Amino acid sequence: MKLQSFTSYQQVYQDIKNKIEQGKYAVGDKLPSVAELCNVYQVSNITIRQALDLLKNQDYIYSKRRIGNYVKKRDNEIYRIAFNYYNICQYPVTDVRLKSVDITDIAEIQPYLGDITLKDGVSILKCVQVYCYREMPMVYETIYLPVNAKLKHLYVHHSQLGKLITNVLNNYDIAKRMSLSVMRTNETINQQLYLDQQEVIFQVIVKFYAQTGHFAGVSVGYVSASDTQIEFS
Amino acid sequence: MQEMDERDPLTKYRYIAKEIRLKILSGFYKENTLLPSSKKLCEMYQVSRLTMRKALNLLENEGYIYIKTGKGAFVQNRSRLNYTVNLEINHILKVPYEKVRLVKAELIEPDIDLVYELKVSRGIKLIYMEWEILANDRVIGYNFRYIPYFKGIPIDEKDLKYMSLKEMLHDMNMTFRESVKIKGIDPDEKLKRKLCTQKDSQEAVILIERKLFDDQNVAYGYDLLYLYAHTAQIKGESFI
Repeated sequence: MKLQSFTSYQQVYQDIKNKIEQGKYAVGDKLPSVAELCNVYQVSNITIRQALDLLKNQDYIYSKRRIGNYVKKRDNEIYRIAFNYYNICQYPVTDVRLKSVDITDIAEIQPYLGDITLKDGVSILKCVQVYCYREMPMVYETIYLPVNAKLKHLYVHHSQLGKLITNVLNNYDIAKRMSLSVMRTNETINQQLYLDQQEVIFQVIVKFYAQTGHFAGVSVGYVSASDTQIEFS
Repeated sequence: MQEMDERDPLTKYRYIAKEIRLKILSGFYKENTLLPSSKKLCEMYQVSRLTMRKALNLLENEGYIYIKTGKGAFVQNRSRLNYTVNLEINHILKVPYEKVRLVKAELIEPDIDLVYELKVSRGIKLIYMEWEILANDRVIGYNFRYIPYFKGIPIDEKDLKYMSLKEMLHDMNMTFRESVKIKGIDPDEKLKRKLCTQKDSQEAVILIERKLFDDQNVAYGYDLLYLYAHTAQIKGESFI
């Protein structure tokens, strides 16, 4: 189990919350007792109580006195977004330009991997693309793929590589996990997208998985927040 | 045979891509089924093979269709195209908030911006609410909310528990249409004051803007959630 937060009660909170959201604890179910939870997470009584208090505060559970804690019904806040660089940009994408193709090592993508572990020594194909409207660059995307024999072959004769990589990742049996955050630009992105200093941008990280659950690649994209509209209903 | 609108500023292949996209989204072309052959499509839209090729290419890049060599173009699975995103506040925050403090709740008359955003008339009153979202005793976010006033909504401060806009209107038993926008913004002076940042702070802010309408397009709520960029991350998944 890989948990993100630091303090132990937050970890317990996160885990129980996830279980509620994934439906392992269904609405109306009774949660295990405090003693049982202590046992499961191997933490003290106080930690569990703190976590449960937090869950209560956030409306995930409610308690009946002397009986136990129950999972509460929530209105869901789940949306479906058709998200890709073609439909978030303000101007239509007319061209995708392949800037560079290199081989790097794992260290470069480690910060994006999170809980994924890769074998040491796997080399990574790095492919930089810029989405343009006419001559104006809008999105700066770097795609990293673990190298296999076929990719290596293509790397050597790489005229069609960019298109091929996009097609592989848009394939029907690849699952994706996206995370979107907001930040300020840095030097490299400024230069590539002709932005001002300190402009606000979106960072979009998409991780790709094969059907077997294996990691298939990661794409890191930057797009200026002022050119972008992420909208859905 | 389909008529093309002369005034439409889109180029031909974009226009065709748009038409096919609509047909996919409306379910006219079903998931995982074969699209008509490009020859047939050319006849339908009265265009050359090259234009059609371009349109299909665009759709492929957008992920609406996939091409199997030697077979043709297939419609992509909807669940593959879409990301499922949970916009509940604790899902967005990297570390959950500790508490939420109601700063203000009052009846206001809408100013010109709100009249525009909510499409309400000027005479109508709005309930205006302001919450501070705190973690580690620091303000990490701010939530503004406007709800057109009608009877049955409590405006006693003690009754105003923090909940999402949808939950707040849940008791009305209506179906709403919601539109959501996600923006990255540079906070202005006013917002900086609210968020208690220093003047020279370079922190960016993420804004999640939601509007609720009923089926007659009458606005029922307008919600603006500002969160510090480093505290928030929106996560989505697409399954096979």
